[in-house]
Amino acid sequence: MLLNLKNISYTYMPGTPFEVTALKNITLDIHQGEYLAIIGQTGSGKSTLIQHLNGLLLPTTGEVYLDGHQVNKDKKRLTAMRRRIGLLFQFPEQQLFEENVAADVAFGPRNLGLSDQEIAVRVDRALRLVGLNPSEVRDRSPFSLSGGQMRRVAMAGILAMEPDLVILDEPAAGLDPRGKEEILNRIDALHREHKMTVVLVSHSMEDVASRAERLIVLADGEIRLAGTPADVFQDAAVLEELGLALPQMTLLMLRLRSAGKEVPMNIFSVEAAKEVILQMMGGDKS
Amino acid sequence: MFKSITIGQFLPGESLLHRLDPRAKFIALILFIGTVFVVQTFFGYLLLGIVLFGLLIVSQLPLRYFFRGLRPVFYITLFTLIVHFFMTKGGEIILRFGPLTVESDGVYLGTFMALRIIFLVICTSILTLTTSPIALADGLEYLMRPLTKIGVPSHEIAMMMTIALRFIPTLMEESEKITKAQLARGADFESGNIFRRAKSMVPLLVPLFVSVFRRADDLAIAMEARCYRGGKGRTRLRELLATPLDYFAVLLSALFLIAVAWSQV
Repeated sequence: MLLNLKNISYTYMPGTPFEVTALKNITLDIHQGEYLAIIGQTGSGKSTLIQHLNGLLLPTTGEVYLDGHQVNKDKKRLTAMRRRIGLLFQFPEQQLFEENVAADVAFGPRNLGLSDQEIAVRVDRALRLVGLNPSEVRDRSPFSLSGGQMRRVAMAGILAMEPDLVILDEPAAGLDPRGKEEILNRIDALHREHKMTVVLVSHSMEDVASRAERLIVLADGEIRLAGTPADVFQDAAVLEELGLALPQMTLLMLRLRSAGKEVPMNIFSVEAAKEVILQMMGGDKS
Repeated sequence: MFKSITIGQFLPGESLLHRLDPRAKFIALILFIGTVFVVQTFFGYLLLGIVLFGLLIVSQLPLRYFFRGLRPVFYITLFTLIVHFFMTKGGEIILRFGPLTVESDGVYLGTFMALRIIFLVICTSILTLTTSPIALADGLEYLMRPLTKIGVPSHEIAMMMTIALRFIPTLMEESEKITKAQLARGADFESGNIFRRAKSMVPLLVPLFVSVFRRADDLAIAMEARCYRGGKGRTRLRELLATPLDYFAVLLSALFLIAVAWSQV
C-alpha cells in the first residue's frame, strides 16, 4: 500500500462567509503499481483531493498515510513526500519558466540534489518518454513550442524526478483529439512498461474507461461509486444523475443487455464490441 | 497564503449600506475621514467609535470576519504605538529601561495616532466591504467627471481601476496555482538567505508575467472586438441613481463632521 487517506475532509477558508467544504469524509487507498482514475464534474472536489496526495493540502480532519507513516506539517517530510509523488496540474504548460527546455525539465531533478551527469541522463530519458526528441528540443525556448509540446515538456519535468506515483490532472484538457489520444497512450505506456503507479483525473468516462484499472466517481466532495470500470458503469442511473456521460460502447452493451442479450460489460473499444456482436450473432445462428 | 488577507474584500449583502449609491458612500467616507482628523480628544473618538459601530451593525457584516480582517493593520498600529512610546519626548517620565524612557507625551500621541489609523481603516473597510468593486469604480468615475475639464482622463482611470480590481483575484489564484505546481516539483521558497530566496521566486515570477501579458493581450483584443474606444459618448448598463436616502446619508455625515468639529473647538 502506497498511500491511504482515512476519513479526510477539507474546508476552504473556514470561519469566513466564503467557507466551502470541498471534501467530505473520503477514505481511499492507493496501491503500488495500479492505474486509478478519479472522475467527477467540475467542482466535485477532484483537484482538492489530489492535492492531499502529495501534501500540498493537509486535511481539515482525517489522516493521510504514506507507506504507513502519517503525513503532517513537518516541512522535511512534506518535501520528501513531494519528491516521491509527482503531481502534474491542469494546463501544466503554464508552469514553464526556464530559458530552454533542458533547464526546465532539470528543475525538478536539481531540487532533488542530483549530480549534473545524472540530471542530464534523466532529462533526456524523460523527454523521450513523452515522445520528444531530446537533441531537437533541448536548447529551444519552451515558449517557442506548440501548446501540445509545451504540455509534454511540463510532463517530462515531473517524470524526470522519477516519482513512485504520478498524478495527472486532466492531462488531455484542451488538446485536439489526436493530441489527446497521444498523451493518454503515453501515460498507458508509463504504467505498462515502466510499472509506474498512475492516478489520472478526468471528467470524461470515455477517456479512462479502457485505460484505468480502478475508478472512483466523486460528486460534491464524496465518493459516490468505486470499482473497476465495468462495475462502475453498471450504475448507469447514478452516473447519469451526476451528469457523467457513459462511454458509447458501454451504452451499446447496456442496450443489448436490456434487450435480453448476455454481453460482458468490460467492452470499451469498437473492435471489442464488434467481436462481441459477431459472437452473439454467430451464437444465435447455430 | 493570500487567502488570509480579507481586509476590504467585498461581501455581497442587502443591508441599507449595501444599497446606498456608491457616490454617496464615497462622499460620506471623505466626510468621515475629515471627522477622524478633526477629532482632538478621546471623548471625540469615543463618539466616532459609537457611530462607526452603529454603521457596522446596520451593514449586517459579520463582526468576527470584519475584525479578523483588521488584524494586519493592528500590527502596523502596534508598531507606531511602540515607536511613539520611545521616540516622542516631553512631559513626565513614566517608565525607564536603561537609557530608554517612555514619557507621557509619547504615550498620549502614540495612542492618538494608533486610534487614528484604526478608525481610518474601519471607515474605508466599511465602504469596500459593502460596495462591489465595479460600483466603486463607477462612483469614482462620476465624482471625477468635473476633473475632465482640466484634462484628467476620469473614464480611463476608472476603467483601469475596474480592470485591475477584476484581475486581483484571478492573479492571486494563478500565483497560488503556480506556487503549488513548483512546490510539486520540489521547489523550496522558504529556506536559505535572502538572495537564495529571491532567486527561488524566479520559477514563480516568470510564469506569472507570461500569463499576465497573455491576459492583457486577450483582454485588449476582446475589448477592441466589441468596439471599445474610450469614454466619450459611452452609455452605461447600470445608471447610478441617487435617491433621497443617498442625499440624506451625505447630509448626515456632513452634519456629523460639523458637530464633531464644533465640539472640539
